[in-house]
Amino acid sequence: MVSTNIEDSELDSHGPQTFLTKYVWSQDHKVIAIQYMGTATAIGLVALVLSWFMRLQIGFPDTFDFIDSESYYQYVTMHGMIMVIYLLTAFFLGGFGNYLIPLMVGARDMVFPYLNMLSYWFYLLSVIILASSFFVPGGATGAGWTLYPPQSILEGTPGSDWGIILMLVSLIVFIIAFTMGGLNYVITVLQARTEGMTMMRLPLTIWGIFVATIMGLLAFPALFVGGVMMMFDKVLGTSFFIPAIVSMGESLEYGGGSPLLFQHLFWFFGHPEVYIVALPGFGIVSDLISVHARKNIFGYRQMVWAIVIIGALSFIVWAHHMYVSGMDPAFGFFFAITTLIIALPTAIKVYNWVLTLWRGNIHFTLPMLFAIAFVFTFVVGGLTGLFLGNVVVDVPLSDTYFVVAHFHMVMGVAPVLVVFGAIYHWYPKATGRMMNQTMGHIHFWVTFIGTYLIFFPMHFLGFVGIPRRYFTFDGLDFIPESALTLNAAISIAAFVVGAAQMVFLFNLFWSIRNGKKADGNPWRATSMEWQTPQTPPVHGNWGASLPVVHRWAYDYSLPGVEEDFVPQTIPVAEGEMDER
Amino acid sequence: MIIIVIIVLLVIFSVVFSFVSPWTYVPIAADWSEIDLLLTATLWITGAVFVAVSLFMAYALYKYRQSAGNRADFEPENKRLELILAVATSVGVIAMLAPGLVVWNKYITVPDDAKIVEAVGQQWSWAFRLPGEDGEFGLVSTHDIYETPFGVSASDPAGSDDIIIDDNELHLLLGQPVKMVLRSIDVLHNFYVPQFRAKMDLVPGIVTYFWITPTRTGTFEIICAELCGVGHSQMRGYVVVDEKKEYNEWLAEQETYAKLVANERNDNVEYAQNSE
Amino acid sequence: MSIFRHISTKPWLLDERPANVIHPGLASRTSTTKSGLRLFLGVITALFALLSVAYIENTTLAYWTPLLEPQLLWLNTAVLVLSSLTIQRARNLAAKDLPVQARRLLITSAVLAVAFLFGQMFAWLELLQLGYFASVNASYAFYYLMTALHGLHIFGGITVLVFALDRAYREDNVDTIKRTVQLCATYWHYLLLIWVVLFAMMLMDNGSILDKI
Repeated sequence: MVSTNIEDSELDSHGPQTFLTKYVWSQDHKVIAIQYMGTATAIGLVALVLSWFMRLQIGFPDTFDFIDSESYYQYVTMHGMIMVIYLLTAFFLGGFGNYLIPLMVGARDMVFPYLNMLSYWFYLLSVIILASSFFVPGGATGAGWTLYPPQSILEGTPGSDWGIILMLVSLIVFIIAFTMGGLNYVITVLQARTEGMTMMRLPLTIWGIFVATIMGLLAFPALFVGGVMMMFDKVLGTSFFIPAIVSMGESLEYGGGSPLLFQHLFWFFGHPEVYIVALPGFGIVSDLISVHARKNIFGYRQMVWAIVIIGALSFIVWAHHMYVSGMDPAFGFFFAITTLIIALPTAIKVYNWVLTLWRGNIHFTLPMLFAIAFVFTFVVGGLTGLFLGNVVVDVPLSDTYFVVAHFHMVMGVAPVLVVFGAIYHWYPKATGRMMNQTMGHIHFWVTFIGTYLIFFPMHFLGFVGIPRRYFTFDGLDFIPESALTLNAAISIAAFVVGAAQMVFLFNLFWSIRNGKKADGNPWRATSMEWQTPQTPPVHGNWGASLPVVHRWAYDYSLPGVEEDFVPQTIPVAEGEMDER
Repeated sequence: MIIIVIIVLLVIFSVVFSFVSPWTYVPIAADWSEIDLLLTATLWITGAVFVAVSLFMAYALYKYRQSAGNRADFEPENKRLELILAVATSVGVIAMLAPGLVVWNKYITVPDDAKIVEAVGQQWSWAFRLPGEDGEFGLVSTHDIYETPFGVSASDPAGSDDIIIDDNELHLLLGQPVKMVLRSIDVLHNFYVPQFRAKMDLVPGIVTYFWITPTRTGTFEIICAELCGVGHSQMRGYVVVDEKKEYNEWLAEQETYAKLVANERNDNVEYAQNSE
Repeated sequence: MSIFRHISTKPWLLDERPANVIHPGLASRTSTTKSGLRLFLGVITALFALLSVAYIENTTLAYWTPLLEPQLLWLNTAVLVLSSLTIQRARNLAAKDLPVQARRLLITSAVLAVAFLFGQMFAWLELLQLGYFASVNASYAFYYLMTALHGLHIFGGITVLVFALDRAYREDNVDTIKRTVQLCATYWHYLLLIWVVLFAMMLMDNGSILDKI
């Protein structure tokens, strides 16, 4: 409720002076964005290493002593949770949302900068709590990222004492952080747009982030409620989610609860969460394609509608994660229909990306390469969703490697490719230098081809019926020998792809000093963030007076204009009307 | 430019891989060939869309790559084209969904002549129960699981002829529809036999089900397909599909609840006498 | 302009009206904080709505036994109503440019809210002494959970009220005071509403709530 907008007159006096206020306790959205990105990357690296450990066990079972069944499930759980929540959600909304929203809407900062700063520090706290759970007695929780009770809080699951409690506390703190940030993003988009910037003149990046944030604000409470209730079950011995059971030879005190209730709460959050990660990716990729194909995004209005419709529909499809969970099977009809309806706006987005390329003037820059790789990967991931959404086809595939392959393609690799593309795209704005091209290309090719080789064959392991979350396949006769060979090959690909990320990280730091100098608008883009008076933008973004917007963000290759782009700040020229 | 070659190569790789892959459905052993059929049909439809979209994109990348004198068109939208694409997509989606819902209806509708068999999961093993001659299970209570065999209530007469199979191996009769009734006494599990295609979670506190008709004799593995703790991957069982003769022989060897209770009482008496 | 008309405009068509007519630019600080609060209330609504759905779902389960509501809850409710009334009065006074008079009522309101929190804790103690722990039945588990979450929100409200108003009064800026009081009052009323709904739900649990309706 306490807010401090930066008024024009206050600019100088409020500019941060010392190192601490400038880089640590900063209320500047750009600094907060970079803090978010740095923290997310750091914890993301942990998750990457965990995936290596998992692949060591799957590819080369019984070779590594430090991986036993307990630690394997801890790796699985923490890898999933970190990647989905602490890396992707934080990176897209806390990172790109913070950096791009004020710049792209033409504002000096977020509307509640203090709250924004708090948001970051709460996020950092949640990450620290999460990381600390590796070091408590019993270790981190190994309940799977879905944390399904009763097993997540019972003996027989790793980290069922301290691990799960810290996990839940960390999630609750994360949700508080997200709420503080989310209020900022939404209100800034709604009310801090500069003169002339109507909602329909916003770049799709902002639309994606905006709708995803609203979804997050409505979906995270479900996880919050589920998390607090599970905490009660664990700490106070209540029975929200736990019926009368015996565990490890002992009758427990619990009784009367419903494990399915947690699953409903979890997926009421969990499904929108998929789109919370996907929608900002959709938005950013639309802009990357448009800028680097020098062409307006095809079907802008349909793209906006699709984002809004996907956002709304994603709240009524959650139980497609629960077709074989034991819920009333009649729900299967409803959720299969809603799920396949959502395929329609998603397909339209794919068509529009490809149609934007059609009759474009395509520059094969690094951001463009990543955008193309995204579309390709996303098509595979989206299409395999049609298997899993179609309730009866899901039956043999659910909880097999097909599911693992599907969601890694659609919400793992695809959004991460967007993150990379976006970093290569906006790096010159944030640092004033281009990233190194050679290292960038090595990183791109290994990541794109490598991830495809990891996850495409994995679908076929799912056809065999090989179950996911298995520490060992020893003695299972229905699995052919050759599947183990394939697993070893996949593991090797995973190590190579992981190693390529180190090249990227090195490039990220190396280019700050050694990259080629970039001017304020190296991609010759139209949107507002490229029109700042300084690069990198200084505190307050716009110098003495706020910019004024005269057109939408996609005036590329206008007929009758010599340059192939017209920035949003350029007034309508006389006679321009007649040319269109 | 390399990206175009790579995309084409990846498409070729994917198509070839799909045809030559030795990793495919295990031979089916239950009456759910519709599911396989739908799966294959979905693979063909989505495969075709994948190839079409990817190759169209590769072609666009090639044709409209940056070159001197090339300039992009200005084309905000094309309602007709969008409409055509939307309708075509809807048709494809409906073509996959409609038969899927019909088969789902069959999946959840148990035929009247189905015999019931109960599977009970616990960390990390399976046990089974047949209803005996009366065709009905006796009441059970999870808390009694260590008091009486299987937690079957002693006071319910329907329970006395229940056949208790405290073993990881279950036999089923070839061609006889079976309703698998599922219970768990501790955490979530999932009863999954890859050859049957069907699966369903075991949820403590409620009873879930699915049904199958075995169509092929043989021994198949039961695996747990819902993470249930450190022993998850070791939670194995076997289901043996028998011809009538072998099935009856197996059935004759199994003991009823009443018999088990009697045995236990005898054991106790014996134990008491010995320790005197 | 209605949302639907807005999102069907064709943004690529040139618009020759002056930019500030097309969209006037940054909204005032007052209205951004007000929207921020509204959105936050929306988030709280989602939170308590989901909790209520879980609660209603649970009342239909076999193990459910009705809650023995401490009679103290009625008194607490009255205190919270009083707190809302005083803050509303403070809001009216502030609106009439009488910040000093408003101040006394604001303090009263905050004290009443603190009293409510203590009252809720006494109600807990009463139940705990009778042996009704959260683990006794889902109805008690929900009771502790819902009162705790609601109490935390009240506590947050009091904290913001104290700090924000302290600052506003020290700055001696009537507009800031007015705005802050207004926001706090909105939040107060909303939390009262949530409490009334939760309390009503707990009262109606004797038997299945669905049978009652």
